[in-house]
Amino acid sequence: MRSPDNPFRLPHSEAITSDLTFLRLFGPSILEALPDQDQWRQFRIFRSAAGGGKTSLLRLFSPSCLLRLYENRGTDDLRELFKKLKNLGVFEDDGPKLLGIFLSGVASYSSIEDLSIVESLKLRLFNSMVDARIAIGALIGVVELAGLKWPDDLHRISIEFSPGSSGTIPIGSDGKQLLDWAQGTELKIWSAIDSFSSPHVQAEIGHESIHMLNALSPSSIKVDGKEIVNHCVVMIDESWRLGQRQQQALKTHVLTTRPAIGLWLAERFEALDDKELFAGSNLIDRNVNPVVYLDSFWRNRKVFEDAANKRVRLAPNGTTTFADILGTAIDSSKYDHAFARAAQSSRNRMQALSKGALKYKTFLSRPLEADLSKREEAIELRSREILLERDSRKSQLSFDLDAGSEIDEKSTSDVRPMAEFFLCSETGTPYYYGMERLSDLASHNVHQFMFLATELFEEVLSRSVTSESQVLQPQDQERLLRRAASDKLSETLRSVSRRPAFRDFLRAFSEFAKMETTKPNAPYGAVTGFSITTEDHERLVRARSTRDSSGHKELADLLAACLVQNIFSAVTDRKQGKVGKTWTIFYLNRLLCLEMNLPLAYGGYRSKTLTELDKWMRLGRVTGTEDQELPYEDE
Amino acid sequence: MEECQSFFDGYGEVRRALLISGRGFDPRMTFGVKILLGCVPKMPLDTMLLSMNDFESPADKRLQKASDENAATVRSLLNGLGSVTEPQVAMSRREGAVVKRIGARKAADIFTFDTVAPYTDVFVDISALPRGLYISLIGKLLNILDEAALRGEKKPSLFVFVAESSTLDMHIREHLEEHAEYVTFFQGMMAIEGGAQLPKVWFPTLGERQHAQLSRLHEFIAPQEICPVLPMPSRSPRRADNLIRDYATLLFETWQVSPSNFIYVAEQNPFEAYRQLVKAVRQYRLALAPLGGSCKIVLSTLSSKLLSIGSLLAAYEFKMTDEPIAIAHVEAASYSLPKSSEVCEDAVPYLMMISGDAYEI
Repeated sequence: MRSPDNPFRLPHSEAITSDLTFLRLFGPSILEALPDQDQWRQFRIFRSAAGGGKTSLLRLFSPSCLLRLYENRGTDDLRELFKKLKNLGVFEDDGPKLLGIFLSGVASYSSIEDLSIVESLKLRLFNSMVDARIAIGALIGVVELAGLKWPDDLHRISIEFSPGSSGTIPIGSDGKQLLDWAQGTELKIWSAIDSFSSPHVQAEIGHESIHMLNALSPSSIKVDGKEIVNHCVVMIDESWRLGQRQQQALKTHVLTTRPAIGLWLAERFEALDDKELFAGSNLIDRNVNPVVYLDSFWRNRKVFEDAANKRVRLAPNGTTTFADILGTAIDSSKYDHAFARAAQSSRNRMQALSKGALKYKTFLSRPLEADLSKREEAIELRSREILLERDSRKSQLSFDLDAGSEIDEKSTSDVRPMAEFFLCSETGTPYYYGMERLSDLASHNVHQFMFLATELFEEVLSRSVTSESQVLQPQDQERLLRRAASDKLSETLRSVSRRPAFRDFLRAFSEFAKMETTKPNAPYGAVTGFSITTEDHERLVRARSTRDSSGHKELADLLAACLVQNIFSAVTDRKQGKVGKTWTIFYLNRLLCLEMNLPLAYGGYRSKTLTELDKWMRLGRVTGTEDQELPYEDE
Repeated sequence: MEECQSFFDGYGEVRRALLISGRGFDPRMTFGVKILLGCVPKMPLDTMLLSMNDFESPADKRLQKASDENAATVRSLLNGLGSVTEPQVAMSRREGAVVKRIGARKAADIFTFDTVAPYTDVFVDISALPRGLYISLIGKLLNILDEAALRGEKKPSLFVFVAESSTLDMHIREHLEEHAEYVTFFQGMMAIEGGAQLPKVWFPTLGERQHAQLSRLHEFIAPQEICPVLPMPSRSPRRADNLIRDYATLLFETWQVSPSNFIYVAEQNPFEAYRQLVKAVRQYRLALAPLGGSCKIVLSTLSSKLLSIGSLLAAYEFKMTDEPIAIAHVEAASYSLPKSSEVCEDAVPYLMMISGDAYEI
């Protein structure tokens, strides 16, 4: 299969069928998310929102990927990845030493819960199904790693089981007999699941507990009597699709029996019970140490740039780095006039604000640095205006208008980001451009980043046909990003149920955020979130677990859906105010910030009560204000 | 309507019929009763309106009201010709923060041979039934009837009725579930770990404005080969071309589909779709057999409900011959109702016999 002209259009990495292409696009820096020591025997849960890179991480450790990597370890684009994995003990000089057993088809396990059979048998069938699938996965992996022929060489494989119960698993058998047992068991259970008629399941095929996790160990897996791996890990992707009892049984089994091999689960936030869902990335499950939050890993902007550069190198147009296509110079001939006008407006407003007060004389006459561009000059003046606004309000409060002021000593650097945002908003000049802001717009989500990068790179490819410059000017970047954001949000909103409530809530939030963000003194910086007290957070969790629609259930459902859809992300237990007072903060997805014309910085939020949030959802506006026209009106 | 009348004129006596329909907001829900009674006015007709309860995504008041009105219309049309029951079908089950769709299995569980044995004819009106539900339900009914035939018992004929209205379909907004899934009873061997290495071939029947569904299905299935199914011939001769144009980026740029993989089926003939799909599936299995096994086949129907019957029949046939293939889809979690029901004025009714005397050898 040839690569598409736009390599960003390649399916996201787990859907790429070629292992080699997958490896070439894999960013090795995400391996830093793995704990350093002894991870191969540990129970790990990799959690993130959709698009957080869970599946890619697990796929990397599949036998076929490890073999391809070993074969191509000397190539420039894979050398670093190989080296990192070797340091983790995945490779020795003669090849891969990790057996990664990747279990797919997880949704089918939960189908067992739907069968009309006694409850106790459901769990026994689940245990058997897990055993059978681990056995099949292990055999497939060993055949690949040892370079055997499937299925002719299965008899050369042996798995020496530890003493103890093994259910229906044929102990002491070779690989062929183990496979026959596993396929037979799987097929019997599967036939019951997919049968039109009432399932007839032989109770004997069910297992009291999961045996394969404890039976397998690196030293128990042999080919021709020799050990072939040093580590073994079972990986279950989309484990959130397991039934709740099944998840609980699996976790309890591993935590109580402590098998000699690792178990890695990949979970989306929606898999968690409601308390965890709202808890976000700062929750640490004491029984599972540590839970690995991949979303926090993507906070490093460099990771996005690495991922983009890997794709860019597959493109036919000769671009070497993604940053090359993102122009950062504002066209002075086009915008300098607007900047000069904005600078003059700032001067005028500051004069009016100071009301001729002596204490501002020095501040107002502070000289500008030499050689500033018109844009820089306007930003500096806008920064000073914010400082003056703050100081004059403080003076009014203290009724001490002629007292000395500290403003002369203040640097404008703290308020510069807001000044830039204000300037861009006022002059209609580009704000959302450049690698840094593109990474911010990704909201810690690699799929979101790739989606935006696709649109930008598509334009570059089109230009290469017409021999235009392949560098996108800031205004072009902003135009393309706005279009992409709009498309993405329409798609998200189309797919959510209770769409009017979503739309109304977002509309009200937008109004609130703009109102707070655009205050002339920018008291809270960029307000792109809201907070609720931990007590209110717990009320929402309780409301979710009831079918009673009174109280705040509807709001709780909506906020939970927002978190699942990655419309908001939550940070819990943030200390603020009185001693002991903690808050949960909900930050808006940065792509929505673009749609709502908000800055992209984190840290700005205002507290809200549940009653206020309820009103947002029901009225679609902040109480006491008029309707505003917003970009995501209902179609 | 005339063709329906002509069919029933030559069909013989319908002694006692069962109509299975959804108790839904879709104005087409009443068409089946109207047409059946229009063709056979004195037909003894018992009716089961499947009442789909979704506690997790409850329908809004407007949808609820429309459902109540449609149910009342059906009752008044029947006016003593037979019983009207409304079996409750739980559509979803919550597991923590995850909502699981269970409606298809719950609906199918309602039916046994005893449910349909008293009737000479069973009509399933799929106009107001969700896709995932009616595919499983019809599959179950076909299986009940086939097993009865094997036991030598007399069985009713099975008909599927659907009123197609592209205008109304465009107005009804589906709010999709986030994840694709395999249809109950038609999960093929997709989740069998033993066949995890087999290549997957996907046959999506394309319809308009299904980008989100297609992307989710592709992500879910992760096929190695894609054979898009396009409507040709169709009422609008350009329809297939327009679909290719609309999905060009996805098909050619992202998925690298070869145009030689396209399959063309008659837009208004589900039996033609069935034949084409069966032929293509057999061809793929034959071609891939020398490579050390076969392949896993997945169908998806993103086009009309009418054409989806072709996919259902193909999947059912392979399941019954122990070569199961899967049907994958993205269920709608909820719907929005058009403001005016006048938009379904262009609705065209179709009645298909899918089991019965016509198929007896």
